[in-house]
Amino acid sequence: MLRNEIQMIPKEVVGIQAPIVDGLLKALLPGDTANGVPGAMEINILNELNKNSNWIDQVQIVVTKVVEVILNGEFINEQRLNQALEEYSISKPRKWFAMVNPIMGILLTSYYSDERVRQAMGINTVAPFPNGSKIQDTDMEILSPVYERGRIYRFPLSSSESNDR
Amino acid sequence: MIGAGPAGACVTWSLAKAGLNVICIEQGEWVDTNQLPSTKSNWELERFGKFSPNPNVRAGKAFGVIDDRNSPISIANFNAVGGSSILFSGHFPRFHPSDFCSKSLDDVGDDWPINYQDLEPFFSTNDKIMGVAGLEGDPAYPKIDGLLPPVPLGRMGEVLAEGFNNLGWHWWPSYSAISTIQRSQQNKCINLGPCNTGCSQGAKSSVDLTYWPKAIRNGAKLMTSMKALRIETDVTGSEVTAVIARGKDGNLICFRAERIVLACNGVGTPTLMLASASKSHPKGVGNSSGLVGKNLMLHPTGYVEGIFDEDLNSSIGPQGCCLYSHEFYENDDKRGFKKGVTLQALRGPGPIESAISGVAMGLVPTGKEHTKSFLSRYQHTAHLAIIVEDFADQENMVTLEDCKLDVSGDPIPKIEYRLSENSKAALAFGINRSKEVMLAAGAKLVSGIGPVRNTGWHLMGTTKMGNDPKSSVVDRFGKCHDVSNLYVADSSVFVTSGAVNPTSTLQAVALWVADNMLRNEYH
Repeated sequence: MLRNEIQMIPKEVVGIQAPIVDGLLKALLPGDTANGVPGAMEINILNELNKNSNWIDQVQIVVTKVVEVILNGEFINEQRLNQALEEYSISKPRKWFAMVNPIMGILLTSYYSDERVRQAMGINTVAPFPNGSKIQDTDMEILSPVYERGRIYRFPLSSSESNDR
Repeated sequence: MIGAGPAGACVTWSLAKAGLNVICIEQGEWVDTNQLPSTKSNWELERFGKFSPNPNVRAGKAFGVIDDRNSPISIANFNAVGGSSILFSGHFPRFHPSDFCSKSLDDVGDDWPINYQDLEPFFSTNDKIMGVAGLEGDPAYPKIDGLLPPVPLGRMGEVLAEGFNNLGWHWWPSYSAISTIQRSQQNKCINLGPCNTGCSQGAKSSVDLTYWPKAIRNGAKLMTSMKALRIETDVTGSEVTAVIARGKDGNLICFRAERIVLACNGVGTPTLMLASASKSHPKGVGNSSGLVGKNLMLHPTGYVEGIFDEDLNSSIGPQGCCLYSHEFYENDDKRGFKKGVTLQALRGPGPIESAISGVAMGLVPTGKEHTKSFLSRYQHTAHLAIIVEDFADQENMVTLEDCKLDVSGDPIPKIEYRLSENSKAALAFGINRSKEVMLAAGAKLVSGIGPVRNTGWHLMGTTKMGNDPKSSVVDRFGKCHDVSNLYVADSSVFVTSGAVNPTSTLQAVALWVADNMLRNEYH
């Protein structure tokens, strides 16, 4: 690694470190280019996320950990950052998940709320009401073996009427 | 009448129909079906806000309404006209006849002072008013008739049904408080899906649609945004003289009535009674037994998910109503625990919940494989919930001891609850049986968890019904042993919890309480 590519970052990260957050989003939800599904960065997800105070709190914690654990306190250029995040997520999936877990709920909520993402994945983008959905009826012959087995309940104060089905 | 949920609606309707002057006070408001989440494309998000079943989430303050830190199961409810029926799934099975005599039959829990036959006419009346869909001939129950056509199984239900059939186990289309035909006050279900965020179609049988219009036509008065704070008694403590409530404007109002009926659910009812301690009732009104708030039963719940190659279109259809199994409901000592479990099919979640749970469970990775993995899971899952019979334990309770006050200065009830060894064993058993069903149905991947935290809907046992004033709070007619004109008509009076969703049974009990009040007090 060339010395001039490296910038030292304070151990305690104050504020959101934009390049690292961008790198995280690319690593977590890159989308599926081949099938036209946009990634988190392509839908400008940060515009929405940065309105959420929980996101701002949590992403700072995650960025701090990424800097400490994955980058060893060093800022690398964008390409190397992406590479480092990908390598870590593949080689240490449990630790990676534990690290990013605090932001996943907020991130996934925002990502899967986006109309472009939903359309690309074939997910309904309109409200359930008023259209609803059609469900085909089932041939209830499927219940025959259950019915034929007979009664399975107990009736402690039984009367003949009560036991009739 | 205090509380306009499923029990309060039944009692109010019954008493008003008989010509009594009934006033019901309710801390919530009417819900506008045009504003429910399913009218919006981002319906899933509102589950995490004002339509969350968690009262603390709705209030935006952790443990600011109910302090359930000392419970692995958090309390779920909804404050509105219709109460928790606004958000319930509508799964509507009855208790079994054997549930009313657990002690005699299975040497566990206690016997109720009433039985299935006492409640049978009230079950039937309630089914008619609520509009219950299902199918006659279920081998798990005595005859139940007059049902509306069942909710469709859908492909997910068919696949699960084949799984149960392959194992030779009982299953049956769910009893569903959902109108599958057009009725006078309810529209036909059109499978919106998220019943547990409220039904925009007006097909789910929440009591704001079923009972309340009838009760109001019969002359009942309903006052909303009116929170009951305290029950006052006379100097001897033998009669209630007033209920003090606070209106929306913050003013206190004093209600006087011949009789007071509480139906604020298994947490709200004991909270009000405990908060009404006085010189004549130092431990709380009606609490000479010391049992008000004790014996809280919650139905520990587990979830099992199966992932299938086939697209099951599983998020389509009423979320909690598809099919259920009572193969393991009745007691069998060979299983190593007492009483049994219900296995209840749940439809698949929406995309956001599916993504979050998939990632959290390690089934959907982040990174390049995320989209492909998500799409192989979304709509491809089937789910079984395991509902376990919980038994009364005095250590499990709603208490106001050392409690904090909320922003209005009202006590925040504390929940002290732990799972018994019996419940843990039953839960593990139910999870394992559910996994067998998934595999028999052809699932390629199966996972299960339990107890699930956000499942404390079924709040029972905290003002136990019984014949002995020393070991119960109310008598067999819901009348408080200590206070002659105070009644409890909700699931607080349950002696045992069964292993089914309690709304059908608690409404039958509420109608029984009202009917006997009319017979015994008004002839």
